[in-house]
Amino acid sequence: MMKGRENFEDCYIKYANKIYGVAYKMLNNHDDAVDIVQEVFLRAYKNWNNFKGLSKISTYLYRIAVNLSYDYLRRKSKTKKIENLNYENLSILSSKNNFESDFHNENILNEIKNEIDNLTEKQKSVFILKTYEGLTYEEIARILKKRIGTVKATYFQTLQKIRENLKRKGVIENEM
Amino acid sequence: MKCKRFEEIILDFIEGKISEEKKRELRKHIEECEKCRKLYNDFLFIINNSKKIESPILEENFWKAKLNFIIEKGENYIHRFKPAYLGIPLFILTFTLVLLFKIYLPAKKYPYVELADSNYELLFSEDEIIKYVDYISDEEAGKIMEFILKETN
Repeated sequence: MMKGRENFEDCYIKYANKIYGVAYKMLNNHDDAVDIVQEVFLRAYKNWNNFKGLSKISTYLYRIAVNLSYDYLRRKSKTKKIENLNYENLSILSSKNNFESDFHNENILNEIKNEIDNLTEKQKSVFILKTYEGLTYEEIARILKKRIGTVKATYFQTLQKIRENLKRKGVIENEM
Repeated sequence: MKCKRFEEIILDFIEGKISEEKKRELRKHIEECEKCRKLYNDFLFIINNSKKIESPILEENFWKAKLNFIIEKGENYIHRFKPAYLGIPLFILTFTLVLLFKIYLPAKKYPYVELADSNYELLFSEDEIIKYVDYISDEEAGKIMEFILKETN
């Protein structure tokens, strides 16, 4: 029996949804996201005794999740898939995916979601880790093994890209 | 403040990670510059609306049900047969055997031949010299044969 198994189980329960969230946003697919979570934690389990506290466990987990997501994206064809999640079959604790009933807002959110889906792997991972996970640039730089300046520049460029595309589509007003 | 400078620190401004003095400077620039004000508002718009698009949050029981699978698979991996378990002892055994043969195997002794000029022992037997005589010049082969024949007579 692996030593520190209780710690692993606590870690799993604590981070499973976070890793799922990252993978889900990267891949836009529930089953793939669950597979990613399983693979991430399986790798963590195999190396659990090797963790010497040199870097946070979360950094390791996020890094594996992002890399596996890249692999999935490259392997699968990039057909845009708006997943029809049947929420009755999922044990969802909270369905925060309930868009506001206002049609205009729903349209805006759909457009933004499309823009996020169309980002490059690098842009998507930085955007997701920053916007949704609330990680600092330093943490993201450690996860992606990039310089802090590069991460910051990527985030800025990603926001610019989304902004320009939303302006073109009329979701955001153009400058006068 | 110039617009380029504003663009460099707009993200820190949105996250509230700059000094009060810098914040005042930025707010003043936003009031005066329509282009930068638009940039700031658009970025806020994108970030705030993006946060409304969240992935489902699954129940703890869902993940607990998956946990046993991971542990089982992980344990199978940890206790799998590793070729290194066999390889290392085999290597040590082979190395030991090679050393034994090298050190303890009796050296081949050739019959002692006293040379005309000295008491040195021939390094090769007569058969071997004749066997390798093709690899040396005729003159050298002749000298060697003269030695041997002189001594055996």
